[in-house]
Amino acid sequence: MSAELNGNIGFLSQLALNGIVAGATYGLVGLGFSLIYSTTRFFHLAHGAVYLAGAYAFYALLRLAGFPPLLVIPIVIGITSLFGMLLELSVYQRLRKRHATPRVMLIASLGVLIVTQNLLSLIFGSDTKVLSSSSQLSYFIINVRLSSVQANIIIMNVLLGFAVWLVLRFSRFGRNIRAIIDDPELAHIVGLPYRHISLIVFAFGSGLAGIAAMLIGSYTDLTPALGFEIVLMGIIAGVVGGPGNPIGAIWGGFLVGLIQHLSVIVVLAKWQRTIVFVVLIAFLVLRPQGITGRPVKQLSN
Amino acid sequence: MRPRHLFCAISLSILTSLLACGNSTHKQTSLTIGAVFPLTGSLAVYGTYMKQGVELALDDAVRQGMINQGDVRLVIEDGEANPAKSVAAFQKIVSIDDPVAVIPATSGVILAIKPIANREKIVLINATAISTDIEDADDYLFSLIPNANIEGKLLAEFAFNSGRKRAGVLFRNDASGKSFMEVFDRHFRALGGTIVYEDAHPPNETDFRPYITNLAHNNQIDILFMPSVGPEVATFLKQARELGEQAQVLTYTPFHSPKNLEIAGAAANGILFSGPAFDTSSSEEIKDLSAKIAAKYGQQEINYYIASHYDAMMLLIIAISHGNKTGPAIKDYIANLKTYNGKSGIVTFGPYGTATLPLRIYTVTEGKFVPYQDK
Repeated sequence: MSAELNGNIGFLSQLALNGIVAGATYGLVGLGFSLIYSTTRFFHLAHGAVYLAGAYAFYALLRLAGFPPLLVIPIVIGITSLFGMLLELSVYQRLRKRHATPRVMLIASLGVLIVTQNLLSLIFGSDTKVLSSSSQLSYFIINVRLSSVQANIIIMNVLLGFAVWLVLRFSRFGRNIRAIIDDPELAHIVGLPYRHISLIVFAFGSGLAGIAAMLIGSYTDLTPALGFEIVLMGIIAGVVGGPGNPIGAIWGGFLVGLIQHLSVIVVLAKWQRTIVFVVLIAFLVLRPQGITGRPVKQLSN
Repeated sequence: MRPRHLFCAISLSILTSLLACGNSTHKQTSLTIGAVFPLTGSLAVYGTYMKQGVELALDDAVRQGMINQGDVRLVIEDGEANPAKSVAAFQKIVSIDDPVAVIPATSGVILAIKPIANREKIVLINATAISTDIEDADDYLFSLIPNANIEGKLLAEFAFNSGRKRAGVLFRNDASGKSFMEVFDRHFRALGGTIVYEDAHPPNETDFRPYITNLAHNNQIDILFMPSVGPEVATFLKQARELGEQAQVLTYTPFHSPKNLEIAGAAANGILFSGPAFDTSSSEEIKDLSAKIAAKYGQQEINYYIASHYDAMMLLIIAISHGNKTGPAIKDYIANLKTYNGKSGIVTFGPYGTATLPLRIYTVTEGKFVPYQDK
């Protein structure tokens, strides 16, 4: 094999790996977001606030307080789950009682995100917080470099995706969620405890955001302004993967990440974000059901 | 109402009016200097330095008897280094506080604010922005920092003269990044060098891996010029090290902050960057400023951004203490200065409010900023 060909394969492999890792980060955030969206049918932008709360709690406990990682991980998951439940109980359920539209819910969640970002700025400052103090150890595997954090992100993405699939497929809680996703009105008529289920969904989805925050925070460092950006990429992963299917966010994340990073082969890297939004628009127009969804047939009169 | 009550009410009303007039008279004698800094957002670390600099200058001016306490009010607003938000912050200061001068920060912000400042006859002192588009007319803007024409030329000459003939440029896609890219590109090519890679990244980029992978594969470069803000360069260095890319990186003044060493870790060692040649170790003036920063803010660090904003504020106070109480008067006073001996060095003023300041190349050795010594 010539050196040039070998170099090209290495280049493509590295780009693909970068794309898979980026996609895994989008999928991790998108998984929790999609789970909540599928059940509650509104854009919970405050998922970015939950992510930030998890990331800063991780930073404070690990870097400032010096707690051991094995202790910090369950605490952070607990904090984000509680934060999600608190939002559901104190904001969203109250709004639902007043028959608030999804648009009102979205504005409220945007408000929560902005308030959280500003609070974190006040407490921790707006500068970049470093979770990994130096370059991460990386391994050279078949022409590509993979750092330990990147490997963790990919592994956790697959494991969490599989775990959520198992829960949705085989548990009673999962069946209830799928019933609500399929037909919320019918689920209500047959007496499913919607308030109770949505509360658990918020706890579950927000716990996933906590795991995502610890992994991604170690990968890209932290600023309060990242909250909106991270939830935006999670939303794109969810839409591309298939709205209404939480597992679709995992596939959507990988597709978006791969297209974004492999685009460097044909265009300059500065266009990669534009390309992500082109992909989003293309899916919304051409395949609104996403990768995993089935087209909805129009019923005739 | 009884006559006695009526008398009391009228007296009280007159007294209140007199007190109000008194306040208003005091307000008129007190001049306002505004500042629009990035106190939140990705450049907040620099905004904090800027705030410290202007506050210390005001303290010193009062302590040294240049002005009395209350003669000058300092109003600082957060613009997040965002032009739209900074214009709103600037308008707020103008409408409420009627300032004679404002100290803004970053090129995009100054380009947005400048037309309004010229219209309102408000002096602008620039101590951070280096875009070549800023100083384009004989107007109300004065810089204390050399623009990209000067610093970019220095960096291009340094890169070429150190034997690096093939350069890449990865610039922040904003006014200062574009200015630097154009100046570096022009001078480096004029010297006989080749630019083999050119790309831009959006402000606040956190994932440089596609750029690094592309750079490593397609371009054999001797040096990568990266006119971006410090945290971006630091993140790039860290990710480049993880991907095994060892390109020599060349950048400019914003890298000179310990925050960037924290972000990049060991990957910062060997970076080259330009910056004002002000002496933080032996100069008595800087030692004095360091002691004041430690006393007031409990901070050990002194850097160019603190010193240059101290200078910006002090220059305005000097102008005011010479009897210049309006924007046009302060403008005329500064326009007639040839040089200004500040904490950041001796600033020489040029046409259209431009400035020159002695610059030098720095590097990082064992996690510490040190002047670069050519071997």
